[in-house]
Amino acid sequence: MRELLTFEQAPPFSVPLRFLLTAIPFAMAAGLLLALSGDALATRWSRESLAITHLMTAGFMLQAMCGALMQLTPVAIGANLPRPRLLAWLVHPPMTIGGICLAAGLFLHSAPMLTAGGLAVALSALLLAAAALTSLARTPARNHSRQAMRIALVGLVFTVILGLALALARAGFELPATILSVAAHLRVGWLLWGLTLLCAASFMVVPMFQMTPAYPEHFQRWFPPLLALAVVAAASGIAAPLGDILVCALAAGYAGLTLRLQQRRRRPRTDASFAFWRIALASTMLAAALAPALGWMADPTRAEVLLGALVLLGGFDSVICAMIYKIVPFLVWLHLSRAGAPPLLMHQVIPESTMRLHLRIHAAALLFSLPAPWWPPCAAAAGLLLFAGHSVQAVGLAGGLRRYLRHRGMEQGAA
Amino acid sequence: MNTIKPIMETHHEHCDHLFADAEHAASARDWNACRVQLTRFAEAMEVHFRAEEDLLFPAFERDTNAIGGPTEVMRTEHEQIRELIASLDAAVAAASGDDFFGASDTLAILMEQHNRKEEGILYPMCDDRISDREGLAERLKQRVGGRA
Repeated sequence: MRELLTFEQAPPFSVPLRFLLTAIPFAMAAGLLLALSGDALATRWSRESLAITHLMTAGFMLQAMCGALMQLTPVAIGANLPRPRLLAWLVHPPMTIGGICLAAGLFLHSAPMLTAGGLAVALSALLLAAAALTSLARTPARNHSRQAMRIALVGLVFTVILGLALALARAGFELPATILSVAAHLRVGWLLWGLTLLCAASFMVVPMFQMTPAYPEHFQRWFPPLLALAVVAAASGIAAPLGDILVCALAAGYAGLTLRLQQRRRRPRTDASFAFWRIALASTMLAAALAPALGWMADPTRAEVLLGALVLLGGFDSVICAMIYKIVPFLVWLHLSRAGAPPLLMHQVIPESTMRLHLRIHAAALLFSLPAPWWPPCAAAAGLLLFAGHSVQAVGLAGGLRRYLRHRGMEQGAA
Repeated sequence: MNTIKPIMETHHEHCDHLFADAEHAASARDWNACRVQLTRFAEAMEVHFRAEEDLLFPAFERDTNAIGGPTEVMRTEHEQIRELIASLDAAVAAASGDDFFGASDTLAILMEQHNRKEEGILYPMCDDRISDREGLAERLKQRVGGRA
């Protein structure tokens, strides 16, 4: 009991922060590569498309997920990760270097880089998943975010194992054909890891940020396992077409319900973070509508890239930015308050004007990315805008951290 | 049968509504109305905190021997919430929307994670462990009023 609520069990600020900060250069690199990719975006199989996808997933998303996981599981679920500082040191460097190597290996067709990157990302993600699953098993707290988080972590395990197998096969290793499935890797990654994790976070933060009603009890209880079953059915090929349609209906249902809850929010004011959420949810609904339609298209090659843009740029990039713009300022306030330093309120950490500028650039990047598979000049514009948006975010975060360190210094000076 | 969790949960909900009312007034830049709503919210929060600090936490500490643990964390968070409410007061006095929403953004997250810990872990433990649960629930109900 004691450890559940003892604030000292929450990780030091540097633990989640290093992951959240590392995420951003990965998105900037994805933007630059997108700007230079030209008509390579006509297919998801080009080396540019593969590298951009993995900069956004194994780089940006995975790092951001680690940061949020390390902060939210102890504070909101009561599951304290063991020795968080050591764990961060063991996970963060290989995950970062591995993410770079993996993307470079895919882009350069380099077998050593693919092997090293795949192994580093997989082993670091597996270590984190093992630590988090152990903590979640030990906590006596029994809330629905905990269940969803466990399913998402199992999804991460399968995503990286399937991904590692594909990376090794691409690097020239001979592996059994049964585990070499891009379709399974993609479905498990987008839905079992990504969407379930988004649900776990949503159950916690949507009511928290906007004071919305809670998600209905039965939805919180049944949605994550039902989604998992549908994904397994679709990914394993047991009931592929039906499973895919069910999965997309569930994804649209989650997004629609969240939009509905946000409409019923008690807080009157909306901010940039809220708008990022709305873009993410609208993109998820569009992606859920587009995905089943791919099966009926004569040539879905370019539309598959559009789906990727909706999922990665519209969905996950948007929602991660929404979270970063709430979590980092709150943590700055919390840790200053805890240290007895002069407080900085959330709007004093990252100015709303900076977040709104990023929001506008991000929305433009998304709009340009949609026709990019058919019209290469749009890819250049989308890439430059993606790079610019995350550069604005990096500058905003750097400014916030400078203010944090100055206030910490004031407290130490006073002491 | 009286239990502690629903009584205190309902009062959390009541406080959330009062907080939102103050934010609506601030959003309309009606600072007089905001002052009135903020006073109501601050009073309700104080009633809630006093009920916990005077009745609930001592009973929990007595029956579990958990002195200085979770309840101490909750008391610290109460102080942080009181400081943020004072910042809201100052923002209303200065008629500053930026300062008001800067403090209210921080407070909304702090309150929600504080309530989540209480409702998800502490109150169920209190219902489980406190020997005179029904009597205590009745006294808490009297403190937090007809909202429970």
